[in-house]
Amino acid sequence: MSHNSTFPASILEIDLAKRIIEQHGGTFELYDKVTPVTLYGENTAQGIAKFHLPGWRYPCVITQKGELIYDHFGSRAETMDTLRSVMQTYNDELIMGAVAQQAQNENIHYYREEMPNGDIQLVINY
Amino acid sequence: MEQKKVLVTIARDGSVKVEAEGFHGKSCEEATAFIERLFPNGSGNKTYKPEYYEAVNDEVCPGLPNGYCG
Repeated sequence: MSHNSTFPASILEIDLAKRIIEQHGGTFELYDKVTPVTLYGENTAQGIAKFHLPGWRYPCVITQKGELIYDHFGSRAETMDTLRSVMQTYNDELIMGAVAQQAQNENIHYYREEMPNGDIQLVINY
Repeated sequence: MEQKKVLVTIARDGSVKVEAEGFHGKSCEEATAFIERLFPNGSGNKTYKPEYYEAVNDEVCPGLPNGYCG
């Protein structure tokens, strides 16, 4: 190996995120400007969009930097899996699109595999 | 010659790990740049393997002993 990089979940492609969230049964709202969104109690988060997933008591907020702010309080534990699935699907489609585009410009071959532990792996051979 | 490849793992929680294998020197960064650009906020968690620091014949590093880079 030569290097490893890791990236936490984030959302920058809003249209892609909206489609995936709605596919998961959620609702999505995009704001014209950075807007405070109420979470648990009097807590607020500043975001450019929010989405509400099934079974969640409070919305998830997307910040200007693409970070996710959310409070799972009062929601069923298993509903966290919905958010995880949204983020995995989002990154899967985002990265696959970039890889397919890159393959048109470079001599690379790639394949996608769903691993037994639920991870998705893309292998890009140069 | 070891196969050059990039492994992208998208975990169940949506986090992404990018691993470059079989590259020597800094060519690995060129190979992964198009993926890492998708995450401009950065990771703060980039680790370089020993191979990254290996000299490659086509790299030019003025001011350093011949054949050494990084």
